[in-house]
Amino acid sequence: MRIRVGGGRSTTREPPFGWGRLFVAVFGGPIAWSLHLLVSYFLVALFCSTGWPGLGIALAAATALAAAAAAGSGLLAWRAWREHVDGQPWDSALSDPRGWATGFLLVVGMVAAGLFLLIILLAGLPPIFLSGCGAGQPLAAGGAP
Amino acid sequence: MSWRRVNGGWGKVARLRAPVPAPLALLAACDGPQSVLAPAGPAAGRLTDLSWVLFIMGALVLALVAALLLYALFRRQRSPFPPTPEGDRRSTRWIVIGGVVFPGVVLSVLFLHVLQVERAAGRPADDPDLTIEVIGNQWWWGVRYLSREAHRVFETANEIHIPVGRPVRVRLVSRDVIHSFWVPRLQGKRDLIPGRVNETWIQADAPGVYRGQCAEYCGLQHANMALLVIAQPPAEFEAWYAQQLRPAAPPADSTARRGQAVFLESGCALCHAIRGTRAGGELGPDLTHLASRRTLAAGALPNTRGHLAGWIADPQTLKPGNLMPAVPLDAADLQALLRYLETLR
Amino acid sequence: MSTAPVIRPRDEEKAERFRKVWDSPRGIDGIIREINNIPVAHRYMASAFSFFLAAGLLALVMRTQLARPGSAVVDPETYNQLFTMHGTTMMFLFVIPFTEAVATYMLPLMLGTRDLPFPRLTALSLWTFIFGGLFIFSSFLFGAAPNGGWFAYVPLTNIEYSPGINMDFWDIGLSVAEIAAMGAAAEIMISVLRMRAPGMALHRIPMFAWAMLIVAVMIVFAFTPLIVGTLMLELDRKGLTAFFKPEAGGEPLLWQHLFWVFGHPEVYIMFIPAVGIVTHVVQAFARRPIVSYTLVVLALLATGFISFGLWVHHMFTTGLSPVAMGLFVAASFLIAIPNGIQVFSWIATLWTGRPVWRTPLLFVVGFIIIFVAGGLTGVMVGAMPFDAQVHDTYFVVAHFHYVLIGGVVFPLFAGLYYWLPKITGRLLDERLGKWNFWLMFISFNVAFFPMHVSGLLGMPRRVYTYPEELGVGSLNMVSTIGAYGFALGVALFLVNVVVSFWRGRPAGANPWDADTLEWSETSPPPNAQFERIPVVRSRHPMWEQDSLGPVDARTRKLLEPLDTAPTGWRGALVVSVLDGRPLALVHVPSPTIWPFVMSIGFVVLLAGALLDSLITLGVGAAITAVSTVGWFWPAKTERLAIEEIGTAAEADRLPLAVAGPLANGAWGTAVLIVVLLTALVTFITSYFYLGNGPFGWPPTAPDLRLPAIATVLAAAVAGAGFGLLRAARRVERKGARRLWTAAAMLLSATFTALSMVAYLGMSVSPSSSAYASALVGLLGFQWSVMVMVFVMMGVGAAWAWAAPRDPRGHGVAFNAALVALFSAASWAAVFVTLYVTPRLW
Repeated sequence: MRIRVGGGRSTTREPPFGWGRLFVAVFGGPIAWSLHLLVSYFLVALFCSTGWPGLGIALAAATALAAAAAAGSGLLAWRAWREHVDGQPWDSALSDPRGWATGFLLVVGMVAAGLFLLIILLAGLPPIFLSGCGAGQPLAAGGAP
Repeated sequence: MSWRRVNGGWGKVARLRAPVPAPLALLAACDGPQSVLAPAGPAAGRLTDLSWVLFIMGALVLALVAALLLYALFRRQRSPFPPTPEGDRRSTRWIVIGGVVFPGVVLSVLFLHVLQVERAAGRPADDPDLTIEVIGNQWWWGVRYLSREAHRVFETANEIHIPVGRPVRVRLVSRDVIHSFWVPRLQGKRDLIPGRVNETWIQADAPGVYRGQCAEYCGLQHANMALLVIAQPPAEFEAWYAQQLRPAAPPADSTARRGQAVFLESGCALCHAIRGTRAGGELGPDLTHLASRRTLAAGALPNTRGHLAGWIADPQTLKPGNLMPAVPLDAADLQALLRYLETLR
Repeated sequence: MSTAPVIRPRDEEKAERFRKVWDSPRGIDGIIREINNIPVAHRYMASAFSFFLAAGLLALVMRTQLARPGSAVVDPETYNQLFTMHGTTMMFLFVIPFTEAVATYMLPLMLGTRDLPFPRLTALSLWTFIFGGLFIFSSFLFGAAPNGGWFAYVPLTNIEYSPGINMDFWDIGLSVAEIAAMGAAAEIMISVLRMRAPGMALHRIPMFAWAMLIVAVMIVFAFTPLIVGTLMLELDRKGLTAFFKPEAGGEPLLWQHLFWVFGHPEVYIMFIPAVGIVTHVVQAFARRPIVSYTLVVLALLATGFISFGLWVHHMFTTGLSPVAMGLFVAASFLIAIPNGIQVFSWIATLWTGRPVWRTPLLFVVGFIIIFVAGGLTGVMVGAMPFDAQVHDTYFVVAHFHYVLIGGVVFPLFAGLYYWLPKITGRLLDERLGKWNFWLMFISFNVAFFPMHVSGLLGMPRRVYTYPEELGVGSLNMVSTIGAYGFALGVALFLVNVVVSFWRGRPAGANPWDADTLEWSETSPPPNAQFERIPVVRSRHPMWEQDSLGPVDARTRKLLEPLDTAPTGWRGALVVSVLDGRPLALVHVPSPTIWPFVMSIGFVVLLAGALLDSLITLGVGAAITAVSTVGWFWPAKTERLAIEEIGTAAEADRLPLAVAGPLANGAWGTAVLIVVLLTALVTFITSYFYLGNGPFGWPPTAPDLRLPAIATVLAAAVAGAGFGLLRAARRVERKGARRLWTAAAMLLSATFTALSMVAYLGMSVSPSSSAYASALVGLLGFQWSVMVMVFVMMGVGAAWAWAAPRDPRGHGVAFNAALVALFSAASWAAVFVTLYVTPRLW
């Protein structure tokens, strides 16, 4: 009896490079945006609860970092495409060039990086126009009349 | 009761609304006591302007998409079939233009506009010198006029008077569940959240009565939790303010005196306060100047003798579930009580 | 464009045995033993659709009450129950279960496999859903239907302001939808990622499968905060904790965050499957492939992500920082881009295709128009200053009915007209269908367009009546008339379905000449679905492939032994995630009674929690425990089957996957761990949120000594997990398996006991403060995980002793080891949060 516990018996490597790299190339943009949203939200809460100055600068820094990360993941996807998908030989079992499914994901990743870059940049604008820490305060901080 | 319409409204909006196309004008004609489209203050005015920008853009985009869709379905001249890769590449380009570039540009511009409107509507031009605290209760509004001088503070309910043309700060707290303070013709809504204090501001540019209503579901009688904002010329407002600061006038005649005794002894005073008497209950609205108010039970009934009698005799039928119990009174006591309450001007 | 011929197996005798294995179990107990995806999906669809009809009737009563100002058709209490139940039922008992039911039926067919990866879980989801739905609706019998809104804002829904059991019905009943949705999510994810036809690489899977894959991942991340939130709410209601009680330092806004971080993705969880359905209908009736498959997949993916960054736009009026809200406005606006991509790609497809006017296409056209309108008002309400005016008014009611009826119900009807012929084998009547569409389309707009205006005129939501002065009386009357017209449209659909049962023309395998694999099977398809595993070489196999057989020698050699085989047990194929290369054969469980029994245990547990009855809880726990044992029992017949096929698998040259990363069980465990991780993050975030940031609390840091010892024990649990992970890889190492499972059981039990002692030593009552509640929340989570480790290790140990030679025991052990590793990591996070951070500041 043959019991398979380990990996499968695929003869070609799938994906042609590491799963981690594929993950970053596809989801890097969306994840950069998610982190940007959460970190910015946290920064607002932090600066508002402590009264520290410089919220605008902190938010701008977060936006710059996230934008760079999104752009970077797009670049990573593009390079992976050039290196591992473009011009691969035909695979008769797939009726497509080898690594075509990976390439499909990389294309999705490239476009996603651009889209989420736009959202990150747009989400970086509010501090330029708006300020303030919200009207709502815990009763203890606002003080009873 | 009839609602006093504000003629003319807010100048800028009236000008803006003049040239809109016919179907929209039809909508604009629908101005009611709580209409978002009939603003009467600077904050609401900006929000209405934004509304029209959004409606017009929305209508255009919908028309465009619907037209494209119908043309795609019914056009006579069909593309080559089966589709070619070049044709699909061209289609993809159109998808990118229509689905990415067009909304991306339009929405980015709109986003900037929205941020500007938020900045303008979020804060008044001048710092308000009057602060009113609105206290949410199931299902009525407590109203306190705050002041640094303790003798300038007083309490009323379900009716807010403000001076015309001046911004007023509104402090929002809740005593039980979440409510939302919303007077559409003056300002967007803001929630009253227990354990927190919130803030908003209102300003009316013309004298008038502006209806508001709780906008966050707050239980059984959420539907009957209205309030009135009454904007008055400054002198009129000052007179009202001075009157409200006074304690209740002592009952003038014997019937009213008997009514006061009924009030103090039949349990009314456990929940209601009348300044100048022993009655200091805090569970229900302050009744010191009840007779000066226009409605009863947070806008559920107009304030007339008949409705007041009905309300005292059977509050649970008129507004089921509210906290006021029916007080068993004989006819004479009830008449005396009504007489007394009517003197609370 | 040619239709692939249906392939007939050659060996009829073997085929008979094969079909017999897959046949539905007979007899009365067969009804409750049924676990195959097709019959289960029939029941799932029928029951979910019944809830749709019920919730629709509730809506009609509401519309009758609102037709005129100040009317008294129902009293305020009844009205509040009606709108709460209408929303709750439509969301939790109709849309999500129904799309899951469609996926349960269609995914294996579309993907070219024989069943879902966990048929017993399918059956469990079904029964739990049916009993749980009836449980919630039974509240009407007691006049105690939920009345706090489908969003259940605290403090209104806390015991102080909602003293009846109404909201307990809601809170406890929701766990039903949660269990069913989570179960389906795990199934769908693994099914789409691993159980496809060979050659169906990721760039070829049907759009509906993409949509369901993304939805399944979203369900995991969205439903978990809801589960945590409803748990906190129920504990608060029982007076055990104070998460949301402002007088004890709790925070009502925490509930709103938890609810909407579920609630907004929820909207897209309902909508994304519709995108999949619409894409298929557009392809089939435009007679061509969708333009830019890649962009549509990207759009689905982007929608899935962005939908998690919108939740604060439900809280624009709560007084949050404008800067923080601005972030969410940006996301709320730009989610229009992926939606724009989808809409334009459907239009482009129709533009360049040869549209064929059939009812499904009509519903799709109606959908596009209504949905675009709803999407545009969605952008409007995402603009926070405008939202300040229309939030919680009928404008929003109009908006989300445009999105949900237009964006979900219309596509579902399109899907029903498209797929029912496959399911019943009979075509629906076209003329009735067109009447059905026009009635629904026109009356929908009559009902809901005026609501935009009544909202702008100042009519708030959730009011049982409104004064005449508001000037919305005639608008409401029109809405009510429209609502009745819509109901008539739905009734017409039912008539059409019933008539088609006995009069409909036979559909044949592929009545629409459509492109995907489900149309290669007979209508209705057999339980086993694909007697011969199809091979896919195109995105549209029925259009672009001459045959569904393998073309290359290696694939032929791998798959040939699987034609009408295995014949002694239910077997299916797993493929590699990206390229869809055949990897292994998996064993699909045979009919069993235990999912049914377990669902009864669940419902008894729910009733016990509702009634605060320890006896009922005990009975429910006992039933659940017994059914767990029965479920995992190494039954002898199954054991023989496995061994018999072990050899068959040798001949097939595909390995039999029972344990480790090749087996579906390990993937299911990975999903479970992601769920647990999400719950952990939710608890930790809530802890810091209640403490108002990392600086807030506690006043004094809790004692460190016992928790430090517990940390050592947790590390030991991890050690046992590692040991077991190694042992599970070797068949002969049953001694090591026994040792490590037993050790892990002992260690996890000791850890839990010790950690509980440490907590009791603090002598804080969890209801005394929000801090104490958050502390107990985190510790309680950790204890639950450890109990889970204990139980899973117990099952592993039982297999190691009772059936040491059964390979499935390795799978059980492997999965228990994974959870043990997670439990240690989770404790590290809890330890740092509770015991280390207070010492940092």
